[in-house]
Amino acid sequence: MRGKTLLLCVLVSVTLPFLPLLLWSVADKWFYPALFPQAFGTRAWSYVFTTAGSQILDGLFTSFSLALMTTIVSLLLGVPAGRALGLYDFPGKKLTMLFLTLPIIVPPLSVSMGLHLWFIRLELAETFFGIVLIHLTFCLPYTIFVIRGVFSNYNPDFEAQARSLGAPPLTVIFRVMFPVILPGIIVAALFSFLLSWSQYLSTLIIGGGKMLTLPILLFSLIGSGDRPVAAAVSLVFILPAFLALLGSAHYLGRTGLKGIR
Amino acid sequence: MRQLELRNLTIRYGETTIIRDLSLSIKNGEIVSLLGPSGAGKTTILKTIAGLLQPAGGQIFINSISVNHLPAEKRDAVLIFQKPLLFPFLNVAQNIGFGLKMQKMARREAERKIDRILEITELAGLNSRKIHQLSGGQQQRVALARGLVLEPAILLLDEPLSNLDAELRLQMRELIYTVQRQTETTMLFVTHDQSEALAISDRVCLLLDGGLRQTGSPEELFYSPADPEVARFFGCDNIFSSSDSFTQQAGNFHTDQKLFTIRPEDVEIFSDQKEPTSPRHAFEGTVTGMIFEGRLTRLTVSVTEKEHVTVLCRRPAFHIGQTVWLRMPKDRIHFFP
Repeated sequence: MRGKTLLLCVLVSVTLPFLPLLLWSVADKWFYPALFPQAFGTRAWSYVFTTAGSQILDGLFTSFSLALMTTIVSLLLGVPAGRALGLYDFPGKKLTMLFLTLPIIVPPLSVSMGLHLWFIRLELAETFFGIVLIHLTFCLPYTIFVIRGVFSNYNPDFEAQARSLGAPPLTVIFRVMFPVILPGIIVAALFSFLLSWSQYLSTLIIGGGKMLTLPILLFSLIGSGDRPVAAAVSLVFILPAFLALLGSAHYLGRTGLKGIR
Repeated sequence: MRQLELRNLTIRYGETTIIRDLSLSIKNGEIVSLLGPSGAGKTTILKTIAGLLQPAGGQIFINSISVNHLPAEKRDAVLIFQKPLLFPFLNVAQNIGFGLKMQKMARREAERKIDRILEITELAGLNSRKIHQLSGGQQQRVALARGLVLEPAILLLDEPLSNLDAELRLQMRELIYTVQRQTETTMLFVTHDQSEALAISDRVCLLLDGGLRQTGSPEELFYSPADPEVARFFGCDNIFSSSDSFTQQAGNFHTDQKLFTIRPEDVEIFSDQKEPTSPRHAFEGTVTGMIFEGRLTRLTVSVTEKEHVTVLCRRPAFHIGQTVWLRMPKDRIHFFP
């Protein structure tokens, strides 16, 4: 019961800032000093769904496939890396951790600009794969850190026990390790997906304006000064993140992280 | 047929040798305990037999087949860890059925086996319980059942009682014993607790300094220790030499053997020289220490300045500083070989 109240408080505080966006998206006339719009209308939404509909749909698709690809790759690399960092001691472990934080510490602009030159040379600039790579420089460290946290509380004896009960190595990974760390994997996947989803600068630089993801469309709309339309597109942009949050809150609220110990 | 045989097993951890040239064989249906102080490498031996660690040397035979090169999952040995390690995402029946599923056993057959083992381990009716709904004792029993259900050639138990409180420990000990008799599972049981080892096993192997110091029946190890260290391990620090001054008084041993021991509870103690039935061999001492241990009280009696005899007795009517008379019954004295 208390957990539910808490969840409700969190949800309200997360959704409240979006109220102005919602109002803007249905406002036809809203001038200072009015607290609420003076006239309501569906101009912005009809623009989103009809005039710019195909463009926004394309943007949604591009953003989604980029985020999905980035998430898959960062999990494929992040789970083994996080396991190694969380479970084992090896020479150079601290250095590796420092190295992993570099893309987070160094301003993204510098990282993207620097890598851009390399990407042009390697013919990765303005490609889907190139953008996945640049997103990975930001997503992978976070994934590794989350998974490492999961594994530092993980008891590898579970795996030894499964082996002794007759489970071959691959079965141990998928039937024992995976279910135990699943909550952590979901958190890491969400992190990775949303981080990639909201990338603007790096996509712009490496994509050279050719990859029209949702954030790039959004910025151009905000620049044009049409607030109701920008608000409507923003809401479309937020929707997947919001759904993901709800889904994970529901899932994690149910199972918690109890499987980890 | 020998269920398990270890030949000159040597185990190293990095540069340090933990176990050196250990040989041991366990017969079908036997329950053997591997007793030793913490850190002696007992768990390491079990993990090596189970195939989770590689030995540096020596051979492991299970059912007379060398298993050195078999991976853990292919060995007919199941290790039950000190912690229950029940998979939190499976219920009780699924946990017990995990190994059967790995063997790809038909569902009906598996269910029948699971039900039977739940019955034996006094867990009947808990099939669909979640793990976190179980008490510590129940979890430990599920862990035991999960191993037993596979009917391995040998079941390796790593201190399965150490996580339980005193009362549960006794119950679980009883249970392991009865289950072993019912299923005739061969068991190798690791513990640092001598009373556990003595109560449960057909044979006890004492592990000291990386090797087996003595192997034998519980009574043999307890009453006929192979050397002073074994005696001390079983809580007997009455180690004397027949050349000690007081031993001349204590009895005419007529022997070349030098060192001998006597259990503290076997030493007779009197407040008057005339009390003993054969006062001839009684000798004098002073009570210098007294520790109340519950059922028994541990007395330290100084015989000379340097020689002390430990005596265990019930409800003693002595006080510190009192002069007492001790007697060591001849048939209770054990000379070290």
